[in-house]
Amino acid sequence: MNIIVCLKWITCTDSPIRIEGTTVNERGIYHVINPYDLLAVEEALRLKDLHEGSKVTVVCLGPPPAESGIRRCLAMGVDKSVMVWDSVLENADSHTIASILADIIRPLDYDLIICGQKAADIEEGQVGAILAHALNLPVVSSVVKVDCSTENGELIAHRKLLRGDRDIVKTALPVLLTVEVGLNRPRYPAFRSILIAEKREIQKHTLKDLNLNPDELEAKGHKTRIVAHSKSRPKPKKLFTPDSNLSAIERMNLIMSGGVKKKQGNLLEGDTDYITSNTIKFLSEQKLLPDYNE
Amino acid sequence: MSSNNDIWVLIEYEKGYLTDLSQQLVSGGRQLADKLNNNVCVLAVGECNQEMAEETAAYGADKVFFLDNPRLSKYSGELYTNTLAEILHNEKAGMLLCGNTLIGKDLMPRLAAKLETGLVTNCIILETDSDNTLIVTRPTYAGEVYTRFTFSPARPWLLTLNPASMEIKKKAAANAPEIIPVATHLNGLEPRSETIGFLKGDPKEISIEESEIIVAGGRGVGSIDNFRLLEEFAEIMGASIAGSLQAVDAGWLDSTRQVGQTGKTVAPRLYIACGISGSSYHTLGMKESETVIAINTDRHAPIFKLADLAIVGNLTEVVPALIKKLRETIRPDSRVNPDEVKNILDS
Repeated sequence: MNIIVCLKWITCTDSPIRIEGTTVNERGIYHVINPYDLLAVEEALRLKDLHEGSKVTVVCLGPPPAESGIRRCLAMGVDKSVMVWDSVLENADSHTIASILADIIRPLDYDLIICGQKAADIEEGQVGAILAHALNLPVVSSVVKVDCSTENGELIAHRKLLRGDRDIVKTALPVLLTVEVGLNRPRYPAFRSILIAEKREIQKHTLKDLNLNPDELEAKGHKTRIVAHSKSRPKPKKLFTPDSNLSAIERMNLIMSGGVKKKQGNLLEGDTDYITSNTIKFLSEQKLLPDYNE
Repeated sequence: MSSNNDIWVLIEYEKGYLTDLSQQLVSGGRQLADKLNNNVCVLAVGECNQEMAEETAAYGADKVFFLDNPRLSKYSGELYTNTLAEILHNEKAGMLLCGNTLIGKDLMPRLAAKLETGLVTNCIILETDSDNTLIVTRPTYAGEVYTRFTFSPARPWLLTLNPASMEIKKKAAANAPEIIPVATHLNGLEPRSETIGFLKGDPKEISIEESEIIVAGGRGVGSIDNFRLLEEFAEIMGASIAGSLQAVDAGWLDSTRQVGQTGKTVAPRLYIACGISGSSYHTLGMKESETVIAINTDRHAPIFKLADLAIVGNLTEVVPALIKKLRETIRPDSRVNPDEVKNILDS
């Protein structure tokens, strides 16, 4: 089985992110492979271990420093890596990225493509679906469990829904999966593998090597464009006009609290029967009593 | 009013009611439509009746389009994508708003691919600048940054909205809009992936971050036997069991179920804290919970400050009484039987 994993080189959201004007200040920022994509790499390697003769290829549209991230994947056990970069990609939108990925992947031999559900920095969460469409593949999103049988070319995936619920989806290979947290825990490569990975070959291409014209891409334009970054602000509280019959101090208190609902702070004390019946009453008023399907 | 570039809203129902988020979407769509001088078209899939149409009109819908096809009664990514893309294209929709829900997250990127138009996910602010260009803002970099996006001219623009990003404005009286049935062409369209089963999350097994209701115990629980009592309570409430560091240290609880600074951060609909005093190390992990019930013998316990219902009492008396009362009040459990699930998986 041939598995392809798409990687994104992202700004680590744990690094100090400062805004200068309308851009993110690069000072003090470090970059990592998108953690969602690492889940994808780990899953690919897990499937490789299960199915003999499998090969895992990673594809990354990333700037030169992304090489260190790719080497980490090689150390984890990835067989082949492709890296493509051009400065026009810096501001590319999801459609552009997906179409370039499709151009890279199309000539390759693949049964399964795995992408992260979203990038942990920009969190758009759409490249996977657009790539699948470009390659005319079915897509299964939010995958947290994969069962794959190569003999009959079938794949069963569990999709993460709310509150621990899962949908079980069956599809035929080839397919594109986007994976969610909860799928696995990426392995930590051994020191020896890290050293060996340093010497492994990474295929590096420019857009021109792929017969893509950067100017054309630029001219084609973006479906969405980032205009500006700004510091996030706390959610605005709703302002409301307090009742004019209230005393000044009460009005001030109301305005300062922003009209936010205070904790109700009901206190129950005393007889157990009194406590239980009032608790049940509270639960049913708040619609929190367990309701079982009939 | 121009008929082109209308604002379309995909609404969702839960148990027959329009979801809060859908109300916000229609309402927010209305406010935007007033600025841009457009119509608001609501798109209902699977279920719709006159009453529902009137309700959406109260939030500002001008037209209600209804997709009635039994194959669409349950969400299917491929079928929805094909149908919606066709309608949006035929009706020359200007934009489609959808909640950033399970459906929105799966459907909208597929639509973006199919329609080859831009999508901005998880938007929190929609605004227009002086020449009526739409600018949308969404949180990025784990919420540290707000990023503003604009769209290329290719329509329809696609947006998914974060819950609680829009204000709900309801009109008192509204003319019921006509429900416009939309023909669907699904014949011969076979989805390439198919949902073959559903696993109900078992509160005992799932990660506490995904739980809807949590029963948590702390040092005040006192003994392993009392902790079993909490587990019984959790089971009848359909809740997951969790606890403070003290409960984990005492060996009553697995460390993956620890809430607090050194454990997990949870925000369930209901958090029942039993024998937890409420030190900041613990409350840091649960203070976003919607409703908090606390049971503690000390009436000055800090946890009571966070509680919607504070119960002063000994949990060894209160909890068994509650279990007994709950057993009398609610019907027996009819959750999915694990054997049934196994059968689905085996077949």
